[in-house]
Amino acid sequence: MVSTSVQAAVSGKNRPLSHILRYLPARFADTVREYVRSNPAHEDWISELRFRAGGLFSVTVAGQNVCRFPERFVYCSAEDVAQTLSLLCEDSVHTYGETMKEGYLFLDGGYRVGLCGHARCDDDRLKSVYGITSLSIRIPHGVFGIAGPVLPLICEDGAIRPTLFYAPPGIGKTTLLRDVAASLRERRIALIDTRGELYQEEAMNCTLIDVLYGYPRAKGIEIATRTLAAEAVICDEIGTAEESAAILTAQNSGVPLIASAHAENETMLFERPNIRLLRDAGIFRYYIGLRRKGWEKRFSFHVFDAWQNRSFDLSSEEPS
Amino acid sequence: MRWVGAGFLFCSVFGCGILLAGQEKERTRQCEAFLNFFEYIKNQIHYFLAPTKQIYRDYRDEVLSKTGFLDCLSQEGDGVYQNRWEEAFAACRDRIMLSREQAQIVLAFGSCIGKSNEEMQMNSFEYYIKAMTKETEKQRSVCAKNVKLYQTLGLTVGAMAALLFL
Repeated sequence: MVSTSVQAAVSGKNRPLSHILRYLPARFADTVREYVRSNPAHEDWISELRFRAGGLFSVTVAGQNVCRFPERFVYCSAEDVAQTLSLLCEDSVHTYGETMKEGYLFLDGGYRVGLCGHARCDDDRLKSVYGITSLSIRIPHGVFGIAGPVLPLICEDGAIRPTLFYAPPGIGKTTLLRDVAASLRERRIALIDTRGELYQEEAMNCTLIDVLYGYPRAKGIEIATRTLAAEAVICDEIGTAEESAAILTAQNSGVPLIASAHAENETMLFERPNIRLLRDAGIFRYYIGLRRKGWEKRFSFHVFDAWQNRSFDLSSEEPS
Repeated sequence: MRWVGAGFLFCSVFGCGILLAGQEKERTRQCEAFLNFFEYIKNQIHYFLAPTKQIYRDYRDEVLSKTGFLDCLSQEGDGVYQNRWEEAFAACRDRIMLSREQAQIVLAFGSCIGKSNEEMQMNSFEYYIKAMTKETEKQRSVCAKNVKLYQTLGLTVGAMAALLFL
């Protein structure tokens, strides 16, 4: 059953693309508006806006790079990148200093901006980043109902089963996790939103979800299991040694973890030493690989049940 | 009637002297107010990494409020905030009595706010705060000298004009 707030998000009352366009220099915002006007069906498929100093402005539509609008290229100067960054940060670049060092900043509304530029290092430690040369604005998509086929696995007889979703970047792991969190909204879920991408107000307010904003994943997992008495912890993109250590420590608390990781397929997933460590410790019951072809909204899932050592495939219905 | 005219002339000239002295005092107060504002901005960014719009909205100062500068800074256009320091300064220029050099420092300080990381901003802030401190000290001594000068000049020129009129 989809709640009214979720329906509002699905029906597109909140247009994440038009909202972020207000923060872009007019030249680029107008280019995107013009593109959407001539290709209205593409609007829901725009996942990224990319700026490169001395390069081309591009839009990622269903995984494809679009840089002709329609017959012209839009060039981007260093000043354009600096101005865009200033506008996105509302002239408060200093507020985002720490996450900028990690290569991203997150904005209200669940937008993640990936960035790179010139690094200033002290020995091996990254001290600061200046002279930003590339920006990649990720447009969040509130697509709900896609987790339907895997929900009976995750939530079996009222018990939540630890699950790891894996896929290459841009397939929709975060969107799926968001849907799983919204579907489990009547359970005490601790959502570790390190980069401000997971929590979506329209779908998750007035629920039992506790949100740990900006916490490093390892610390967030520790807090969620030790002090929040969560029924399940949800977090995005695990994979570092520190995170694996925190997950291994937390397993004794009996709090299941639902997480995602980057990997092309199951073999490559288990080739990652930190994930292999988690598999050997039996942390996750289900390893679910996501597949989605270009313009398809449907996901297909490849499920590996580690406790019963069997694999099978599932596919989702076309979401609303 | 002649006495009334002479009295009016004296009061006008002496009043001008008092007015000029008042302006000089106001300029000093504004220099000090901007200097305090600079320090506040620096601390808010250094210790709290506070967003620019919040810094402006939270700041209270009678002298700067009177000029309308703080209100102009806090304005938001189309729901997107931008640091409009230069525009705010231009909009209130007729109420801001700073000299050209002092105004240049204020504008240069404003152009650094929120445009880079904390460390780079601190370096720029230190430089402009030092320059503004120097200007404020200069202004204080000029003010002490000029206030007396304007008052004395107003009094003597006013008295002389009144005598000549008589």
